[in-house]
Amino acid sequence: MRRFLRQSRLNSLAVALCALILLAAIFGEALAPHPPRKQNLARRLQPPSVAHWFGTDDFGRDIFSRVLSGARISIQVAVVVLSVAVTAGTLIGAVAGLLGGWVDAALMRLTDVFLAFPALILASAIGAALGNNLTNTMLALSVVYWPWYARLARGQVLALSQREFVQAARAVGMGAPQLLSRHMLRNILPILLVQISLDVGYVILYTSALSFLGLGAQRPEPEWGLMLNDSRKFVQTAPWTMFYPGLALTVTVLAFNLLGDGLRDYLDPRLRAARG
Amino acid sequence: MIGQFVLRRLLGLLAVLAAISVATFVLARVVPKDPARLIAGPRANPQAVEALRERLGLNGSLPEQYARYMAGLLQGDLGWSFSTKRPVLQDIQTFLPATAELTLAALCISLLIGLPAGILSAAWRNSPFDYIGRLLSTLGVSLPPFWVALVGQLVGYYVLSWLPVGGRLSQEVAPPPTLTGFYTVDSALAGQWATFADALWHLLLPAFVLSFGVIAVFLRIMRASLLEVLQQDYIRAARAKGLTHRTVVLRHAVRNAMIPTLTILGLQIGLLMSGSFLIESILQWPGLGLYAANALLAADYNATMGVTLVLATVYTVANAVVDIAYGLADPRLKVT
Amino acid sequence: MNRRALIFFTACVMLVAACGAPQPASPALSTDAAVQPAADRARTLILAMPSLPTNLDPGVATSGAENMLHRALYEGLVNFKGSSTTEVEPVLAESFEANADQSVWTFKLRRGVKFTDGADFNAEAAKMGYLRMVDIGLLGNTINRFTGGDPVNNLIVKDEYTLEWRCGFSCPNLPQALGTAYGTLFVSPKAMKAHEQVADGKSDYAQAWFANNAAGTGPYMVESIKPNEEIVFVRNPNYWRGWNDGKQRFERIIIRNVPEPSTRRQLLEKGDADIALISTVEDYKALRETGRFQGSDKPLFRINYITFTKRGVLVDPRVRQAISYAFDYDGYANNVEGGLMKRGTSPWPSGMSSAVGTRGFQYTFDLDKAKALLQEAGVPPGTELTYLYATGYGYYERMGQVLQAGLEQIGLKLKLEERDEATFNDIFYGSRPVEELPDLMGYAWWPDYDDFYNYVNPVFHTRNDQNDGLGNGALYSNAELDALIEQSKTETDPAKLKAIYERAHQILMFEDPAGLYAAEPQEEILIANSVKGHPWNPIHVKTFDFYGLYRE
Repeated sequence: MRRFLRQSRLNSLAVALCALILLAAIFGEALAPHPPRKQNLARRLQPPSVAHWFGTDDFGRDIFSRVLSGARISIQVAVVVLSVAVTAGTLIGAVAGLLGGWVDAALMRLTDVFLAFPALILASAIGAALGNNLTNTMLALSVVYWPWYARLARGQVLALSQREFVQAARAVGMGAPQLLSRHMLRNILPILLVQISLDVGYVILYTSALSFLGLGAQRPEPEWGLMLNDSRKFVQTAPWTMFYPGLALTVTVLAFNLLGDGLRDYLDPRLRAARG
Repeated sequence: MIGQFVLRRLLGLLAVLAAISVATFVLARVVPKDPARLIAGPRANPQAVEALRERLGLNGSLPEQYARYMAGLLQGDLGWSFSTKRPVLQDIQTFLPATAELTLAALCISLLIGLPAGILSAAWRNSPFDYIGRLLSTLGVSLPPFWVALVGQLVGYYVLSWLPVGGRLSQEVAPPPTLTGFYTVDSALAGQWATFADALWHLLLPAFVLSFGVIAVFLRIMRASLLEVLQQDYIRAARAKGLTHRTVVLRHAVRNAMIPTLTILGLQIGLLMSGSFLIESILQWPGLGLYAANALLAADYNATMGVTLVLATVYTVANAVVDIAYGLADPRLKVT
Repeated sequence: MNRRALIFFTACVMLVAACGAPQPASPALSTDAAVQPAADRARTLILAMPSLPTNLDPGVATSGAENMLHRALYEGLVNFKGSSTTEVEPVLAESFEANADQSVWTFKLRRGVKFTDGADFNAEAAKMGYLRMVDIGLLGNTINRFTGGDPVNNLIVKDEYTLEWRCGFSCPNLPQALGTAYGTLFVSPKAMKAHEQVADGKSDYAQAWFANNAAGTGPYMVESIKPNEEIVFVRNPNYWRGWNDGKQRFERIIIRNVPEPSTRRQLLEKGDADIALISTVEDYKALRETGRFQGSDKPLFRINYITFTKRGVLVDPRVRQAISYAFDYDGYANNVEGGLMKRGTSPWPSGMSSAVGTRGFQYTFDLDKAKALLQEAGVPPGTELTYLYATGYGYYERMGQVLQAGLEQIGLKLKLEERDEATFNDIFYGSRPVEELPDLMGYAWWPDYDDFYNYVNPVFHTRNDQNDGLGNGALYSNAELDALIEQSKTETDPAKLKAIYERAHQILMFEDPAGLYAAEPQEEILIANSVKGHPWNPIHVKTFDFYGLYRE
């Protein structure tokens, strides 16, 4: 940990920011000076002041409290989406890599189908069929993200298969499940970790984009993208309503991106992600 | 051997496209949306709505409709768009060039900024430049694009009056003769420099906003792969020969570090095209993204299907081509 | 290096090739608009609107945005005079008069009027236009109602320029009914014949052609359509009213699709648009305060409301009353909508001649009363209700959020469900049974003309196969109200009508509430001061008499 922090000043920044965000996610709503969903129609669109650090929105709700409470939603979505996507993707990719042949070909074409599908069309279809809410957003995003992990895992498994210790294990008759659990997972883990830390930011950004289009979180949830959607019309008349949720979103995504970058550098400078 | 590989890749491509067409069709039709009801308006009686439904070809069972759709598709007929009331193919031909132009412009911007920045970052690792470059590019990828678009227009158009609002050309400027469908390229080829400038002016904000998310990707890939190359033996050898750091990096390392960047180009084109959905709607760039956003809202099945197929095709074909070209370039590599 | 260059090159060429296919020229949608020299900005009217559906067929398209286009291209027999909602003036009719009991009307038509395709406008053309409307069925209700459902026999061509109209009952308000721009505008019979497609013995009435093309008698013609981007109209050089009366009327009209609210404001403020729909109160007020823009200060003929679905706990009228007491009417209208809406006081607009006004029952924002009613009805605290609304309008969502906050204080949970309009319509107008509908839905309604029956029948009459209750999405049904509505259809005695209005008000507001009538909105349109001649008629919502507009 200390070596990681010392490697680059950006790493320290990233760790500090991520810690802050996680704290906000856990304690944010309890620490918030006002209830984040409480309306006060008489005090709508107040500029930032001592009473309302980030001002109030068009229902008189305290934006600082909402931004703070919103961290939990974003982090929660990222955790759920990535858990599902990483588990499913890694499993499928590893199976494809280990078994090879037509299984591999079929599974990889399947990932192509999912990768080629415009995510927005998918999310909107799911929303229309099952309702627009965060659960369905998580579903849609899991569907969008698993193929990336499948590709990553498959590539790693293929590379590892060439290594001597794996070939030795195979030679003594070790089956695919054991190979995977005993030898490969441990070797894949670092690269997975890097990819996950990078994707946390993107998942959060994606969620907010879907909420921005009305396909994600529903009112009055203090989700950052939804707050941006509701405040876009005030860009001139009450810019603070748009500024702070945007800032929170940017800082969060930035923090996780920096963390991922730093991790990659730290774990292996030669290591290259399958994608950016 | 190589022929077989290409053939396999092409067959896989066809299978993927077929699967996508089925998936889109099912997704579009299982959702409880009725375009006829939307078009008919609140004062229409059920009989009139039914007649409209029939006219739009929405009657019949789902497999029947799919068969009808695919039969048309094989003859290059993507059906009619309910919302623009024109053939979908014609719509796509109208709107695709705008999106392609925007996407390629954004790609060029991100390559022009991302690659040099990546090279500098790797060559002078952990220097202030490395920090600032990475921080800025990471900031770029972290900014919500819809936010940047709104603020960019407010500042660029409203406050400074430097930029136009929406569209590809000003009202009074005629589009150049169609050759590629890209207004910048076409006007340059035709020597209409005023039109060229106007087209570029309109392209500026959407392309920049769209490129933000990709600059960092190229920077990262370039930086990582250059760092790797710089540790290779032949680079050490070059250094041992007494070449300067600069010469080693630019003459020897960069060329080899380019390969990974190229392999992700195809993926980036796909990401940029789907990213254009949001940007086009907010900045009113009259491309496929704006068309698709409207089609989604209007339950315009045929248009949604058409756009999905086109995007998926561009994406898979771009990837397949990169894969195949890469396979041809380096037969040792195992390619999927 | 060569190989790598090749990869990049292939990728680029592929994309270009995919896009570069030559575009087939469509004669209907000429794209050579910009070849013409730039029109003088002062003689061009530019509108920035939030959506641009472009069905030009006045017999098919029903949205306000499309109606705006139709009013530039087509005309009807009469129109409302200025900002009046009751007084009509002749347009393609020269004059009109009724017999003694006002059951038969005779319209003398204007001579020498031609459609833009050269066809003459006459009584045959008028009748054909009406029959087309009725047969297509989407907008034929007005004509059907006043011809007893038999327009073929009750619309009579007396001579080339005389049309006789037999209602079959006393219909003093027929001219007002024809003053609406929905379902009353004439298309050219020549163009219809030339472009109709007949399949299985049924004509499509040239719907396909009229969707993208126009042949009317109106002041403007289509110059170009760029879907999702803009539509451009130019003057009809042969327009019967002429262009040489000294007023600087517009040579071109450009309607731009600008979905982003802040962009519309920016365009209007910088003078790059003359007319814009301004979505937020803050922008609206800021722009009005500059003194450079005109707006309306009267509410429209329109109610934004929340429907109640009579199922579950909502079957008990006391629960519906409780919900109605839990809405902060004044806070919503004055704060959330910034005073640009008037608080709702009735199921129908307060400007209509059928308004009951303060004589009728009114709700206040009274949480104690609401709680008491809920307790009386035995609704357990924490009961969850769902509120469905369509995306893209803002006010449905804002009504929902205000109600959500109010209900929370009386122990009810309100779940807001937003769906895109197509999905919402499918639920609202579809054939789901009451049990499958959401508890509450956001809706708005307006009459075609100032008439109780025309307003109330579609939204509050029991839905049936006689086309009553077409907009009654929550499937509200009240036998006594149905009887009142039927009675109002032909009743002409003012005293009896007054009694009907008061009774209907009492039922719909209090005894068996059909909805929570939240507010009456105001026109969200702002117009630059240099553009004159817009009468702000509350019936012609978000549409314009383009010929009447001129620059000063």
